[in-house]
Amino acid sequence: MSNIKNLKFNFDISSYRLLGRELITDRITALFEIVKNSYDANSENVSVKFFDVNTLSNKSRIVIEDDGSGMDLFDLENKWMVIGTMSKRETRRSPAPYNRRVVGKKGVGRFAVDKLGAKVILKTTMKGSTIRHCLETDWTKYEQIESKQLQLSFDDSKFQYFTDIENKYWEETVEKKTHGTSIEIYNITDPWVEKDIRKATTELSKLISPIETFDYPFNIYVSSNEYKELNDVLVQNNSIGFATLEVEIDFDLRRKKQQRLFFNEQTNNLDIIESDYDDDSMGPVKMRLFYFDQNDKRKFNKSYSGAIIDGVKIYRDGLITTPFAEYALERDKERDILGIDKRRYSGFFDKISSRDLLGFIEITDKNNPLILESTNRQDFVDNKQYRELRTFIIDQIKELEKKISAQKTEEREETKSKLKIAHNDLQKTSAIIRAIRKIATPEVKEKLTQVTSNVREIEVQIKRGISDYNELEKEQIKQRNLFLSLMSLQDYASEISHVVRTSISNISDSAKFFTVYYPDEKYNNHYLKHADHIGVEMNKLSSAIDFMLSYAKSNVGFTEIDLRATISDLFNKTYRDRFIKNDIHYTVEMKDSFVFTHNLKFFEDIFENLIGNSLKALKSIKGKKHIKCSGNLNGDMYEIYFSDNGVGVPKRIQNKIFNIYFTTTESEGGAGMGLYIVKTRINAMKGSVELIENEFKPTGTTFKICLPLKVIKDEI
Amino acid sequence: MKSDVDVVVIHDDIKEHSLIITNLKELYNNVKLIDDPEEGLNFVINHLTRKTIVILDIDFGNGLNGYDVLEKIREHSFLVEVIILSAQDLPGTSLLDKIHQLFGLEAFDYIVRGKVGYDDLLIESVNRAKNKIKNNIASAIDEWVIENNEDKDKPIYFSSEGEAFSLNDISNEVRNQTEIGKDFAEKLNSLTIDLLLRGKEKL
Repeated sequence: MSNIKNLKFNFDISSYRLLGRELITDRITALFEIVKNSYDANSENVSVKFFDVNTLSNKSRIVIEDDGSGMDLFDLENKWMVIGTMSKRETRRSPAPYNRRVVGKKGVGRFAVDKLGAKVILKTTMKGSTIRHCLETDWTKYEQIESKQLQLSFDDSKFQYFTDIENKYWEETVEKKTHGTSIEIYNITDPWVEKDIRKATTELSKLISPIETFDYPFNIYVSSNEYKELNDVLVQNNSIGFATLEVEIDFDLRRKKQQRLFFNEQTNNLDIIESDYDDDSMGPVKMRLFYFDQNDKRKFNKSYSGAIIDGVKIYRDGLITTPFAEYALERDKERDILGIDKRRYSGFFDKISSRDLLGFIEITDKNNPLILESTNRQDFVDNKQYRELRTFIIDQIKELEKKISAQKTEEREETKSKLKIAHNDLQKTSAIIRAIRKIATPEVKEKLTQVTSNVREIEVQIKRGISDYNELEKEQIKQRNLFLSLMSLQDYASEISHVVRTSISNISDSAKFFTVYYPDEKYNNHYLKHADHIGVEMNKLSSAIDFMLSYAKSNVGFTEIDLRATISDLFNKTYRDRFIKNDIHYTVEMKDSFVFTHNLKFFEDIFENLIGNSLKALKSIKGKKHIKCSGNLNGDMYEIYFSDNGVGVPKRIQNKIFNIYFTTTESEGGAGMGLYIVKTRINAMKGSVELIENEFKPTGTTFKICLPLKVIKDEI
Repeated sequence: MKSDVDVVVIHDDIKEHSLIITNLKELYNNVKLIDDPEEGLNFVINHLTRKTIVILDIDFGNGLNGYDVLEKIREHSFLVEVIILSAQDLPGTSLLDKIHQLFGLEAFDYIVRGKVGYDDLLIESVNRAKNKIKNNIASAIDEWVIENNEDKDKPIYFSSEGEAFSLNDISNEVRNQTEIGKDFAEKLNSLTIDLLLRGKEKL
């Protein structure tokens, strides 16, 4: 050790420490950041060593050592010791020949180190140098000052806010070959049990792509002198076993072909097909996807303690890209960067969540130069190429979903048919026994009686099994339907908020009209209209709220509905009196029927609104008034035609009649909700409704409603 | 004095007696409200010889939307100023998502309806658009014709095919953004600069 001198930090200790706590919330993040710094310093190997950290003593220490480019005294004073420096990273690349894209956060390394322990000895040697610069910072000395500063009342003018933090500095001589930085941390903050270290190892492994290898190696080693099997372990991102389904796609640079997934409905296979890509496209990518069902998730969790299935991540040239590089302590705080989970709102059941999926997308600087991380490190630059990549990823997941969905159906059918086979086999067995009985001796007969009763017992059980299975299936359909309507509720909620806002804005416009133009004779007529208008808008608000309430009240009642019986009842019982009163002749001709599970009120809403509209449209018609509802099966669709011979829908507004708040009967209290409700209710059943050419001439209206049998009847 | 610039409001959720229309009518002589996008578009295209500011909604239901209308207007002219007035952003249809659709279409302004004070913003925007229109070449020619009616039929420009154009003709060519009109505007500007530079004229 040569002559020791002092290097000084000068700053407010308490804010420095607070800042650090803010930036580095936990020790795994801290380790993560330090290792990222090593990568940025062109290290090929970095080792994280734990010594006696289970029970903390003065022997406890953590050493992080790399063979990177190291620092000279200038770097040490101007980069390492400067807090939150902006100058730390001017370039986004590490020096050649590595040219690594910088992943560490600016000026955060220091704080990361302090998170792990209070005393730090940093030793660093630049490549080609024989001088090892050593710097010791001991925060324990300043803890008292810090606590004082924290208690400080700010009008205390005597207090010194800034403190000289003395850092012991010395130089050592080393061989020319060694270079890199080592950080020895003492006075460890928290004990590390085996699980903590394993967890850290898992997190560190995420830095590295399991697909692509580096141009220049980057190996992370973890070791501990206390825990077995943690002896210079090479950290690898290999916790990808036990997947239920695993796919890998690649590309061919020479032929400019990108592989992609394609679910073949004929063969039920997930095929890999090829497509061309352009020069200004996102560029070719490699991708591995691992899907885990509940069972395999359990196995996964058991085998890789601490590892979690956490969605799809993008790696560049073997290292994780910055938006994914942040370690999130709480799962809920993890961001859905690629929008995989957002997608699930629009269809709950067949969609994979990022918690069922591990995925690795490999891009490279050379092939995908236009996929760029944004400077805030939270996302990618939103350009055509990135959007293309995101769509590509989602598309692959969609194909995977199709495969999984098909697989599930297959398995279900298989279980069902196995149960049936077992049942048949048993019946055959019974028959054989009966045959033997006829020719058997009394002793055998007695035995056989016992066997027969056993067989019967089993038969009953299998029967029960089959019926339970069918019940379960039905129950699942119910739940699925419930969820379907709840999920679409999200869309409605946003639309309803939109219309409520519009109404409020209209009302406030009218109010402002009075403020600005009252009193003025020439606007007398306008005042009346605005007063009216406010009334109308209030009406709309009220029916929008009724609509929301209908959802609030309707969560429970999912029942089996017989389509034909229900529609017939509506006409022949519920609305009969109104038809007669209004002198309307009605016809109901439902040819086929089917039974489905749905909320009865929701289903009736459709017809209530259609009939309500017809009544309005028929009001001014002279001569015979008709309402007709007919229906029949057509393939796997049930088609319903609903017609009247009222005034009809003028051509120019035909394309907006289903819009929320669109109304032509405002003066009669129409709020523009009726056909909107019809549309949303039918959409919730995965059906469709459209206005077609009127059946009745010369005027009238005909709606065609299609309900898919498949979805609402037997698909789970 | 009220302005003679036409204001065409193409919007299906604004009423004739509304605050917006009343505000506009206080300042502009010709305010026309059209609730159908197709009809509105035809009106604008058939009145290209007028000075026009269009206030345009985006969401008209399932048919033509505001962007289509703007695009179609731009196929005919860039001299019509278009202010987009659309309701509060729906999720997924926010201005940011739409902005790329507006590239190259030269919308004059984008105002979110229902925001506090949007009515004042709209009037300010319309007034600014009016000033912009006042400053363009076609308007300058019109002003000239109004003050010097005897000049309106004098030929002042000959195309490369030798066709003669009066002031009135050329004003129409400019408003309709024909090749001749664009060519004339370009040459007129260079001529003015040239005259000023050589000290032949003073402004």
